[in-house]
Amino acid sequence: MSDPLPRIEPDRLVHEPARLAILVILSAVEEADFLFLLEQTGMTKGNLSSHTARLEAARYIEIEKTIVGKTTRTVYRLTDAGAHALALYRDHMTGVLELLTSRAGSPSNPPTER
Amino acid sequence: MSDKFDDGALDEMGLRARAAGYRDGLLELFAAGVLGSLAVSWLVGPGSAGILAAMWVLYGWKLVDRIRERIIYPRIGYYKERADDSKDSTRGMLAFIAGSFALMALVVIVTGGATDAAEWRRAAPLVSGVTIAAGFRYAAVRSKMARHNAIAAWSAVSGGLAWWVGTGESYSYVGWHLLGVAIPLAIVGAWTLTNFLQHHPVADGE
Repeated sequence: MSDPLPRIEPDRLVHEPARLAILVILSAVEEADFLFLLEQTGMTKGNLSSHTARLEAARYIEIEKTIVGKTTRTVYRLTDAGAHALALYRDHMTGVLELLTSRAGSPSNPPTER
Repeated sequence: MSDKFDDGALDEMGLRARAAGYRDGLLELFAAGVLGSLAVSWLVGPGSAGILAAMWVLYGWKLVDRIRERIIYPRIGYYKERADDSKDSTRGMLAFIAGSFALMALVVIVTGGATDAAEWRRAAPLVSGVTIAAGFRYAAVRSKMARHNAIAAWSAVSGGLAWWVGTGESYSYVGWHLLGVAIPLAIVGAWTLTNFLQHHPVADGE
């Protein structure tokens, strides 16, 4: 029998799909506002607000409110800590998937027919 | 949003966000303005047309920024593109431009006109063709949009055509080539912008 799988403990804050999406989008741009994140993620306003608040509390993103014309614009930026957490999470998950794939293909774990 | 981890899907999501700036057609309209005004100044001669071209090159992007602020951001939100500071991109662009001059020299030498100034003038559209193609190929790499590759291909092909039919009496074929790229660009840009505005109504505030 092969060795048991190592204990998997991804960053729970990043592991949540909605927050992961926010981090990925913010990693692709310099900065973006609330409406842009709303359009890109397809979340509801309430959902997006609560997830960004959690990410801000963890200092993974920073939030700045500015006035443009007569409206308020809330701008979000990924912090270095957020970029690091995202990179670490992706590396971690890719490694886990590779491990699982290699185990599934190893002689001690032959693929089963469905 | 799927619960399963999919690295490819995450890349796709990042790419979609990064390409947001290319969806509205303003890049094409800006490029059409630059190339069109350069073409006119090339064909009419420097002077007022040259000043127009210089103004467009210097201030055109500021105009694009204003348009984005007024009509694009209220629809899809504000974003600022991450600057591309990779040395590979700069090297690639420089290689393309150097390659375009090398291509011109090669064509002139192969056709036996190295000492003939008219042959050099005739081959000049090859430089504009390949240089503009390089710019749109770069845009295509960032945006992953087929229309940018199509514009790049058209620029290279039309540069070749301008060389083929050119006489070399003057540099006017460079102007015709620039105009030949600017007009389709303006059409593509206007069509894309119209489509974009139709499909993206102004959103509610935050």
